[in-house]
Amino acid sequence: MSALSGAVKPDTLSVSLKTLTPLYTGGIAQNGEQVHPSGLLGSVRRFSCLLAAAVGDAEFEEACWGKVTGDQAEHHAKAVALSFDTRDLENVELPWRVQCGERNKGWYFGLAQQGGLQIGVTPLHSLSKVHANLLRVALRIQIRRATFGAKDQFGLGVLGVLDAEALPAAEPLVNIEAPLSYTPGLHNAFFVRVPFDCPAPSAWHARLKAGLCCRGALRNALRDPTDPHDRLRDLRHYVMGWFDPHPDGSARKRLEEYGSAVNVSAVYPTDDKHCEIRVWGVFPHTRPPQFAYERGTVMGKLKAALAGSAPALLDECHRPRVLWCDAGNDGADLRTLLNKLAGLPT
Amino acid sequence: MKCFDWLADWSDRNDGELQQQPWDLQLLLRPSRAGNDDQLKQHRKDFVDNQAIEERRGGRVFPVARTLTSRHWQDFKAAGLVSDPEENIDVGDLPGGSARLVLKFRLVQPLLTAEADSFTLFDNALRKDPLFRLPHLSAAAVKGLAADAYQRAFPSEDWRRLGDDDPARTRAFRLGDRLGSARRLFGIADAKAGRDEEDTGTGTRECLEPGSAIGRLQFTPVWFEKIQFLIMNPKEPSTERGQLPISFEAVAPDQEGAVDITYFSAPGFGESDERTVRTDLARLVWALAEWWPVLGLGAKRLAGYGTIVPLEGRIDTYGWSHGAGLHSERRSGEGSWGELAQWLNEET
Repeated sequence: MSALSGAVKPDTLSVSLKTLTPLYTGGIAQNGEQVHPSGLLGSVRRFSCLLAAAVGDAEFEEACWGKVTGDQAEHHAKAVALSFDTRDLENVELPWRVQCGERNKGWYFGLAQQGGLQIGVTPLHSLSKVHANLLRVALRIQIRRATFGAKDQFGLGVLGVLDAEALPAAEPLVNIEAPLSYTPGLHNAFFVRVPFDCPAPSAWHARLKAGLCCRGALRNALRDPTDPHDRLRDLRHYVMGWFDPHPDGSARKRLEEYGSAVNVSAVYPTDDKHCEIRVWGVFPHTRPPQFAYERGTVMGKLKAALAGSAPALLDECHRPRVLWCDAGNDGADLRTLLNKLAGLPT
Repeated sequence: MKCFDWLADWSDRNDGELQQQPWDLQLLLRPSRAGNDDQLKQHRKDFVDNQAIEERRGGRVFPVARTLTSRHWQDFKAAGLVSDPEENIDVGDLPGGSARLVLKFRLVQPLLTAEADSFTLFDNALRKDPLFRLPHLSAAAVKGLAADAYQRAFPSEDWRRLGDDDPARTRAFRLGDRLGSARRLFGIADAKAGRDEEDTGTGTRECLEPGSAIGRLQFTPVWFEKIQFLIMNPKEPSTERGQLPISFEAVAPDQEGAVDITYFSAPGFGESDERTVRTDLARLVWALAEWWPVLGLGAKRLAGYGTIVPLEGRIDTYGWSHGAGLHSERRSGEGSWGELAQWLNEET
């Protein structure tokens, strides 16, 4: 009898990706000279939990990603191992400052990464088949419609596969429960594509600028120039993110500090003759949710702003389309929509 | 471990002198000079600014993480303390049938280990040897990682039914492992030993099950030359922005390491024929070849830290059926460890 008979190999799902916009995961010098596993894991974890919340699976997060809080007897490790092969990534110097309009102070960039990236996902024995499939579906949606890493609200972190066949294999979602109301989820997500019928600009400055101008237009949509009291201020800070660069410690200012609910990509090529901008987000995006009653208003303003600003984003292309998908107000049933977003049979 | 006399000598010197010290000594000295939490934070910031970050010139100047090299690496290596498949490996002094295995790898992602010292400049410090300050993965950690890979590669039917807690399950797994390899490789601990001794007062064990048995594998630490400093900034769910950055010391990626394991056969004590030894090693090497590259090494490995790519595998045997008694088998490349396992398996 062979010594190796009955040996179990890891059931690793290996996904080969390429950067469509540069990838950034921070660093001790606040530059992106290398990719940090925790930065990538964080975005994969968060996105999979957004899907789990949408399908009403309250157990997924702890079952898949482990538990290290609360009663120590209940602590357990992750039931999935992620690995990141970043050897085919290389540093890219991004423009130091990108401005959109003269009044705008601009956005500042340093180094990021571009090239090829392999993500390995290995479910361990304790991960159920349902949860393993949920993770795969989430990865498919994240690759097709969302972003990875940090600074994805400022254009970075769009990854793509070489062809549709390279997406992680997954089974379509069949039975889903009512979404979890206490935590953000894809049931409140919106995914937008702004395709242009022209090649992507060759310089990163122009690509980033188009995305950031788009972002600027979305933020401005949540201002009312006729209101001297700026009553939309709190809502704007919540939706588009804000932090005080010179904190004075006041309680009010600290309360206004949020990460952005809206991510806007830089322009990236879809083929030699076309390019697009990707916008996505979840609103409300915090736990506990806030401003949920304003969701309809916010979506309406963002949609109008995007339609109005898109034609001016790229000098060469004046007739972009704006393709909206709002899971919170789509009309289609959620299961069908999620399968569609994942590119799976509905 | 710290030399308190040496630390005391430093207590009345000024910070200017401290700045002149090598980075590994600064890591030791700075915490002892901090009188409170704020001072510790300031020392950490000074260290990061002056040691952990450097400027890189491209089209512009960028601050980037610096990779710091251990001062004593070359001396340590010259003394033969760092395993390397290129080195001459002598197994002629081992008991007949023994073997020594060296598995070389490239570290692709930063590797984290746990420092035993509780008062360090960084909350999550690397384990370093007390004299030379070389970062390493301890021999005990390597054994734990190897045993984990083995359990995943040759699992029992249902781990949870093996016992009430991890020691009991581990013991049951190793005793029940088909072909007996897990017991021979890693040994078994008798969870009842202490109680039995107490009960009888003689130290004689009365249980009928096998008691403790030492494993045949001898592990050594995996030493590394370079370290770097990392920061993680977990998002706070209530605001979805980072609130409290956590700093880490890490073994820097893009360097090589080697796992060095010796299999001590036990001629004259049964289960020591070449077939048994080959079976044990084939199963071990196969488990490491399949599971370590996807799970990684060190702490937080399931989160993607400590990812490795195999580079080379070498096994040196003594007293096997290969002519003069000493034999060396080498493979290179990403598939080298698996090829070595197949070679071991071919003749079992």
